[in-house]
Amino acid sequence: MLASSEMQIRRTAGSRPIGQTGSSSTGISASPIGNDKRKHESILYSDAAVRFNENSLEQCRTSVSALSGCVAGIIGLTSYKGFLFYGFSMFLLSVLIFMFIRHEHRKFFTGLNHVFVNGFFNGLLTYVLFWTFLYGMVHVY
Amino acid sequence: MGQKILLIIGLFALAHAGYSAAQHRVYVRLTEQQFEHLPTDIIVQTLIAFLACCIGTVQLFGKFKPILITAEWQNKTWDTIGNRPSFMTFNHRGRKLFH
Repeated sequence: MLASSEMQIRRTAGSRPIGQTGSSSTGISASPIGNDKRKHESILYSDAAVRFNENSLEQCRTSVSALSGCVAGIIGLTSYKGFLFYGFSMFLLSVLIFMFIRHEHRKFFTGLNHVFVNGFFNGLLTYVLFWTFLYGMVHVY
Repeated sequence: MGQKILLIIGLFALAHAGYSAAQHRVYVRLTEQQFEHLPTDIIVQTLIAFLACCIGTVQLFGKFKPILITAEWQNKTWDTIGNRPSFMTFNHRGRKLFH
């Protein structure tokens, strides 16, 4: 209880620098990443949770880009249609994730950019790898 | 558990569609026909398997944690946080008083 009241005092303090809020926190590992300077309040994020969320997103993206590479290889897409299919599969993944966390996306990400825009081309090389491999397996041999 | 079943079924369907696509290619090559495109049912099976795999993957890997630190601190009382057992001393006058 005392920790939360301590936190309350810290949140509504005036123009305290970020270093002081970081050093006066309790023993739990937390570092203030976000700071809303306009209202002189500190929004504290847990960096372990932010990293965990980004890691989850990256795992989803890699596996879905590998899967869509397999699909493109089996169907037999070539040249620009293949890359269009990659864009479509990334968009589909973003829509699926958004539908799963629709009501609480503010709780997990600072903005929707993380889900839709950031890391869009991360899986491109994985996609091309599986695409050429499956195309060779199915259509050439 | 249901997500893993969905993922496994999707992967099997994808492998089956790939195998049947390869067999179709061999058939077309043997009968010396021109290869325009794959039969529709193979493409439909591939796309449905892809959708099932995507949903299974997102359900399996898409577990997120709340990023605000206050969500983590919500249920902790001072007794949990302020407990420092290595600072507890037992060599005080209670030894003589209560034994």
